[in-house]
Amino acid sequence: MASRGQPVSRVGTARFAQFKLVLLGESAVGKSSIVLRFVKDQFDSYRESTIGAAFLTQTISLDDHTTVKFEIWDTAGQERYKSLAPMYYRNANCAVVVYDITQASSLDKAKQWVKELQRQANENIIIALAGNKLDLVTEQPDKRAITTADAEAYSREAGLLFFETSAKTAENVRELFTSIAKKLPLDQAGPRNPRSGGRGGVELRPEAPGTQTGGACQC
Amino acid sequence: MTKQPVKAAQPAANPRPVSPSNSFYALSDDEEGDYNAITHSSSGRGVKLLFSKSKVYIHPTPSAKDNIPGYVALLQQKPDLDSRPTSPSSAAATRNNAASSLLLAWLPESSLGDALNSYVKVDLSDGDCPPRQSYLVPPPPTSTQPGSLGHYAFAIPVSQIYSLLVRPPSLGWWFGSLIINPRGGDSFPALFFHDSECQSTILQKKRRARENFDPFGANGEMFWGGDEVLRWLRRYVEIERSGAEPNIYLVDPSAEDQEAFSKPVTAAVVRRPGQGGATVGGAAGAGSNSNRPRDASMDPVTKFVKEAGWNLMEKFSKVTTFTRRTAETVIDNPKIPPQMRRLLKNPEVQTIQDEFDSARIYLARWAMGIAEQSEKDRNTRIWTARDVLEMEETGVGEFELLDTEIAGLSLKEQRRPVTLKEWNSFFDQSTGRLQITVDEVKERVFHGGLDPEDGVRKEAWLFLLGVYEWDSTFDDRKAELASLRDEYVKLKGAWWDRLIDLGGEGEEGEWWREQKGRIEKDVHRTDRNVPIFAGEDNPHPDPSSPFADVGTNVHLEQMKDMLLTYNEYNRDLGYVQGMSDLLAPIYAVMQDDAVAFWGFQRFMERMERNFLRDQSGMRKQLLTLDHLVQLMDPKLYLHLQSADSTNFFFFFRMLLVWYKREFAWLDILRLWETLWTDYLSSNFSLFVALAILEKHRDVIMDHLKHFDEVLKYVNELSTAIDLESTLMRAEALYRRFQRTVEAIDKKSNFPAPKLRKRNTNTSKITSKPPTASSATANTSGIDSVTANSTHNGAASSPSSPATTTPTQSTRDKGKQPATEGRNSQELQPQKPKTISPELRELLSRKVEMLPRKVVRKEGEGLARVRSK
Ligand SMILES: Nc1nc2c(ncn2[C@@H]2O[C@H](COP(=O)(O)OP(=O)(O)OP(=O)(O)O)[C@@H](O)[C@H]2O)c(=O)[nH]1
Ligand SMILES: [Mg+2]
Repeated sequence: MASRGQPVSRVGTARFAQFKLVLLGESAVGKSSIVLRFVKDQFDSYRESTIGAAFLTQTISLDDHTTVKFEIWDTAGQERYKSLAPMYYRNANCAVVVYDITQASSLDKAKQWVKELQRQANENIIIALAGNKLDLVTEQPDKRAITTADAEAYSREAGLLFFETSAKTAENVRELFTSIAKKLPLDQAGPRNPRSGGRGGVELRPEAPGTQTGGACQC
Repeated sequence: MTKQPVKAAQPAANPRPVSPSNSFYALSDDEEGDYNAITHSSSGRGVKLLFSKSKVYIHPTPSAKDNIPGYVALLQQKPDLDSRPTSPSSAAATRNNAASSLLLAWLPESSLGDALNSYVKVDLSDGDCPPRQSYLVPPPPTSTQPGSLGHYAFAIPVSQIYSLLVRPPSLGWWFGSLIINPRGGDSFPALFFHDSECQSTILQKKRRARENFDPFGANGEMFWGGDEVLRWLRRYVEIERSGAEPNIYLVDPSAEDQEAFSKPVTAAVVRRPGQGGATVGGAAGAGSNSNRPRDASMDPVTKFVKEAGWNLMEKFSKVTTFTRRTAETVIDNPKIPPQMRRLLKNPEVQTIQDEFDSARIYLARWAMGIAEQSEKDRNTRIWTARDVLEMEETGVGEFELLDTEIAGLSLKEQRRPVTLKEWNSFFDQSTGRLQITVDEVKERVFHGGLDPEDGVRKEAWLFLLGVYEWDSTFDDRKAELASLRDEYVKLKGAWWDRLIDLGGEGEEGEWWREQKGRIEKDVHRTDRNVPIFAGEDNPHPDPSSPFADVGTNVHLEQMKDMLLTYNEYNRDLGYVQGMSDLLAPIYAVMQDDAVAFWGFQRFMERMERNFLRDQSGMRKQLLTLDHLVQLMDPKLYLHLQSADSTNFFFFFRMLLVWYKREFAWLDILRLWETLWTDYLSSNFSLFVALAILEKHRDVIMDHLKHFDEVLKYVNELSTAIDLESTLMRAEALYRRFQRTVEAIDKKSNFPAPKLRKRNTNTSKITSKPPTASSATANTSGIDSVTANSTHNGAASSPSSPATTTPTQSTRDKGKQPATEGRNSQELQPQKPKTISPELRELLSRKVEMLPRKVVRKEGEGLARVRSK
């Protein structure tokens, strides 16, 4: 296939770039729902929890000449599966860390993820913070547990893109991914991009950085 | 290779039923008065339904469960008066008029409402006679663009149709299909004719057989539903078959089109009344061998594709490229016209393919869809030696041979479900003691499963799960149940106390509240499509719950209670995501919380290892799978290695919750009871994994080159796996595995074995797990091949003590060059093998349970919180 192994390719004057994106955040904050909205423009309130991980792709056009394809890894949120996360965020070009604006504790988890990413993941990783379930507070403002201002302030401090989203109404979902795409190094084809020296794919070594489980497995 | 079923018909030699008069139909529009008009439209207005055919499906995805049944229909609108031809004597004008007043439509069954009755009647009416009644139905909204009318439904004026892409069915391989290409824009989704479900097609076929003594017609084409569509269209418009691309039928083609599709267009022009009989045959309908395309270098396909774009190309590839060997990459397929091949290599098109979300994966899945269908069809046929030979000829090799192996096992008797009556007959009626051996019971359940309807599961599962002892009496069981009920109430009481102060202070309180929140979140998204969990009419008991607004139902609340109780009962582990998936089927079968709880608790004893914080249990299973594939299918293993996929992580979900997300609800029940028997192995779930992998091995090897592709492909198999054949394949694989191990063991006991001679005897099975004798007989031939190659490998270095265990080579895998798998020389295992302890464990029927201290250490439960 064209563009396999080359993050940016040109067909005529058009640019075609491919990036790996990972979704992280506490269970049930709406990671899978955001992806489903972005990729299929659907919402399913009975959506099952994610086990392991799901892989999806979606392509967006930034302008007439620029097409960005996201390879999206949607992970399971529960703490118990945390040790699997490094294999997804290794080599990721960008990450969306999601919390639920009606659940205060979910932002704490999100902050932990951001920290871990900044410590362990790709140096130039672009991180976006998404406060999801915006629709719930539009109906009932007293449900909000985290103010926009607080989350914004934190994002600025930590150098993150920030959006409040609703997978249910689609609000800001596309914007979230588009703004990530715009920040990605579209012009840096070649050796600087982590994708170029052979395809990274997902790293499944248990001893990957960030796990405290080294040695448990002999595989 | 299957031969192409499309053959040009010899019109004159084809004694088909005679078509009614063309002119009669073309003019009938204004003569409604002569009929007893029936209208179902409330407005009283409607269009005339000339022809309809049921069980015409759209296949939006490769999974059969997404298929949408509908009707294809030909409808006649009243033409506007002022657009009527001024000179009706002109045949062409009449024809044009007919074309613009006619609509070709596809409507999902579900959308027809009151009109359904008319569609059914017209479908079943004898289309060869003039209708006595005319049926008026509500006019479907017309569209010339696919998708513009919401989901899939469409109605296009016949005058707007440019061409039809017709693919007749191939018996046992694929459904016949028809794709409508409008004059402008994208083509409509392919319509698949499920002839075996369609009453009218069945009747027409029968009549044909009666009248002609031959359902296949003189030229060997089988009559199918699509023929009828062409036949009816031909009554009103010209349909010409393209010479260059015989599956394309042009509708009222312009001179230019005829040119493009290479002159002379084969003469499908025979639509005249009286001659009709000659044209209705097969999709091939018309066309004659003498009219070969004169100029093959013309490029109709390119024109065709240009007009319809990628969308069409995708569909085109669907219906033209899948041959018997389904795993061919599209581009290499010789069936693809050269123009198309060139097009596919064009960089711009390749970009489209990328945008199109990895066309390769898409096509691979589609290929599997077909293979699956054909497998189903095949299973209903009886195997003949010819079938087997044919298969070997195609070089599909092991993968398909495996199926043959299984066909031998597929004795209907063996796989008949155990009914409540049969179950009860296993027990002494007065004492309730089992009067046959446990293995005999297990064998029946393993092969046949339990009757899904008669409630036998409620009783039998308690035995299989170990809640009841196999040697218990009625009285024992009654007593056991009573004490378990008491204990459940007590356990439940323990966390009820916590409710008072919401879990209490400190980390422990925090842990408990989190667990409660998790359970609540998960229960509300577990199996909500299953009726008992679907309702949300009860107000939520806790108004502060995040689910207070959506409501709940009694079963969801019971689920929460049981999981909270389990969280309390097994505090070392606590509740972990995935457990709700394991409980739901048990509860749904029992519908009694105390009983279900204990069934779940027993189930968890074996599943516990999957939920440890360090994932050690999951890793061990994935590692065992790694060894298993290495031993059983080295070629596939090398491919997976080159695709960085030997971590087998793509089986994580399947193994964690025992395929709960991969099969439909009823299949889960059947699968689990099979696995609970431990009849062959307490880890039979890994053979199920191997069976799934083997079924898809060709697709994986031909199409999937990277880990993410493999993971995506495997994830998307969800609900598209046929359970019964998977179980059969898993059993055959288990038996082959068992014999391989035995052969290797014997080899190490006897340093220089006479390989060939021994071979004929190795099909004997040790007494370990009981064996179905028929299976042994049927699989031995194949097994000896496996055993043989292993022997040869061993013989080459008989005295070498340095055996490479799969474990070692797994560790090395990272260093191996990715290209290794391509070299066929290396495909055979080079080094002698020993059987790793992981593999040996697979022969055991004993369920391994985790020592409590491991759970305490690696669970994430209360013990951990307390020790912080
Ligand atoms: N009202 C509302 N509900 C949402 C929204 N997004 C997700 N949900 C609901 O929240 C629940 C969890 O959503 P998921 O997308 O499955 O959450 P997740 O983060 O993928 O969870 P895990 O797979 O367990 O990690 C579901 O019931 C969704 O319907 C949203 O924007 N608004
Ligand atoms: Mg999810």
